[in-house]
Amino acid sequence: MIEKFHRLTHTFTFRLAMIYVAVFSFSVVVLFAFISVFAENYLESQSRDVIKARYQQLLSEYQNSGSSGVEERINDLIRSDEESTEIYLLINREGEKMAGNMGAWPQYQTTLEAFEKQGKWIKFFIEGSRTTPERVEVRAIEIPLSKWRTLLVGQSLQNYHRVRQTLMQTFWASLAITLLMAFVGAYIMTKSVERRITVINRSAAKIMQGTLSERIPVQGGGDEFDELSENLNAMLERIEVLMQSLKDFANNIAHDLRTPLNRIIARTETGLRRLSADSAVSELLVDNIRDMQELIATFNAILSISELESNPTAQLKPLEVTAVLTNMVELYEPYAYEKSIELTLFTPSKIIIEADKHLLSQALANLLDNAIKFTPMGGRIDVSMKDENGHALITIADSGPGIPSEMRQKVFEKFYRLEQSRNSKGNGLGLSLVGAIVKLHQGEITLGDNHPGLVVELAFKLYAEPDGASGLL
Amino acid sequence: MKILIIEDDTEAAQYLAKGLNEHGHTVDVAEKGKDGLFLAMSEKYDAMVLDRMVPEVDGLTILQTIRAAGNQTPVLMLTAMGKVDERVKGLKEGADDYLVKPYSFTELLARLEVITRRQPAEKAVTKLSCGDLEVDLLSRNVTRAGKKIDLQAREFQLLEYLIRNKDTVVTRTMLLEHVWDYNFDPQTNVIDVHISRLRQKLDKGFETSLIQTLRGAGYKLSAA
Repeated sequence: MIEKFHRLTHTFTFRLAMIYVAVFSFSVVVLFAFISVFAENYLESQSRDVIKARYQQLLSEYQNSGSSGVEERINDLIRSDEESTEIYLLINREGEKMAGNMGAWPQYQTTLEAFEKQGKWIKFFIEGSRTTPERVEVRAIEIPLSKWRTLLVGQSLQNYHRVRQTLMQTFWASLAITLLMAFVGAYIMTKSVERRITVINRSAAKIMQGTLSERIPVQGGGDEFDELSENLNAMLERIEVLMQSLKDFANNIAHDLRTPLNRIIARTETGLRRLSADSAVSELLVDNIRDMQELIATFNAILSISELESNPTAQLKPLEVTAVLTNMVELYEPYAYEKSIELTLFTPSKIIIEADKHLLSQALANLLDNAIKFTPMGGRIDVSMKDENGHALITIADSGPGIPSEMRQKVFEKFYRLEQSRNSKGNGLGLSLVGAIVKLHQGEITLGDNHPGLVVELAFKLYAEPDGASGLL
Repeated sequence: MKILIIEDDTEAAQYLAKGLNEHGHTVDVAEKGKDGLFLAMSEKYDAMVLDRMVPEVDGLTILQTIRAAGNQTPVLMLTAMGKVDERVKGLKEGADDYLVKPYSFTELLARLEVITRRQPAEKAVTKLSCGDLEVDLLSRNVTRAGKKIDLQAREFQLLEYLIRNKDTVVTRTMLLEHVWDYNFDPQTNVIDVHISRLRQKLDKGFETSLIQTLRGAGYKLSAA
């Protein structure tokens, strides 16, 4: 689960989706910043309008009725201010409070800009009161009404604070929702892209395993993935044709050379029969025939491999592989004995797999042949078989020079020969043929280290008796 | 022997005919299936070499037809590529042996000789001999000049095949096919080692060797 998530987060689509999440979140932040600035400005200008209107009222009251009129008016205004946001203070020349709802002139005030001729806009803070526990910012006009009276009209910005709070709450909620939606979207996007990519990857893996005829399924929507699949398919088509022509070419050579070679053998044999048996020439001719037969054997091996690879027509039947292995070891035992190699066999009583007897024997023969060929005099070869996890495991372990791990895959290639075996007999097709046979049986072959020597392990799926079937073979 | 060759490759048929002539056999060649079938049905042959793929009527049909008509002439079938199924099919339809092209003439000759000499009802025979060597097929006793020789099961089978075809060349592939029931190409001549083991057992304490090796051909069990 964790690994799956880890894998998901490492995809390109996921990274792309994450960028989208970041962009969305950023735009939410910017949007809210704008809203907040506009709201602030709007509220402030509204507040200033109210302050100016109050000032006009009070100014005309002062002009009409003098100081007492203003004082009365201020008290009226304070009473009628239900939200108690408005702030008034009227002082005389000595700085004594005449009216208003502030105790004293604000001490730490900041001058903003000038208002009319003698006045100025100021900003200051008042400490928390009964209604508003926090410190509140106040906008106010400070202006002398005359030589004897100075007036301060203002409004606290607690409404503005409330708006800002609401705005912040909305912001966090929106951000959370945006992130959630973005993640869900990213997941869906990653998943759906991954699904399409997986289909392509799976086909590619099959093709790499050798099924060159495999094609990538096209969904039919005509989207870019379909286009990619179609292009890849066209490419595969081309590769398949090229591979086929290459194979055909090799096969045709092998096939066409066999006929003249055969005629040469026939003629040589005819010539040989006309010579007396003890003629020195006859020995040469016999050697020629032997070499030509080796050539034919090589061509036959090429053709067999390509036939096994191209159209696996072999009919696999339930086969008691224990008997086949025993027979094969028995066939090679005298050969091993001649080289003073100890050849041991360990098999359980009965293991049945689906196989072609002759092909499987050929594969085992090639492996035993190689093992004996490369194991030095006095060495040992242990052949064993067991059934494990529903598979028949055949192991052939020798005490020869082994195969370096980096070469272990290459030895299955046609005509590949290790440096150490260049001088020994063989055409470099033995293991290729084994590989092709094992593949035909849907088995697996692995080469390992026997410290020293080579361990060849063959794994074939056990034959599962169909339901109700009683006996076998 | 009188031998019929049904083979569409003219040159291959000619070489075959020439080789068989040199070995004292009379040969008829048919390059087409119909002609071949006609000859096979109308003439009496000691053996037939039949190509699996010939024009007009294919080899398998010819074989089926003559066998259905009660003709028991030994037939050696030839096929282009060694498909196991093909071989099994051919043998099932009544071919006496099967050879994959390209074959060597020696191989073909050896096989022809083996299938033609197998004619007498061999089932009745329980004792075979070659010079002073005697093999009892029932009790599985092997003696040479009265001296008992112990053989392992496979060695006995090998000897049985050799003695059944005594004085005839048998090739390594024939041995692999008939004694071991494998038809593939071993990279090494494993058969040689088996033969030399058998030879050691048979010849121990005797001056003459019963199994002869013929270079480039195979082996022959013979008293002479």
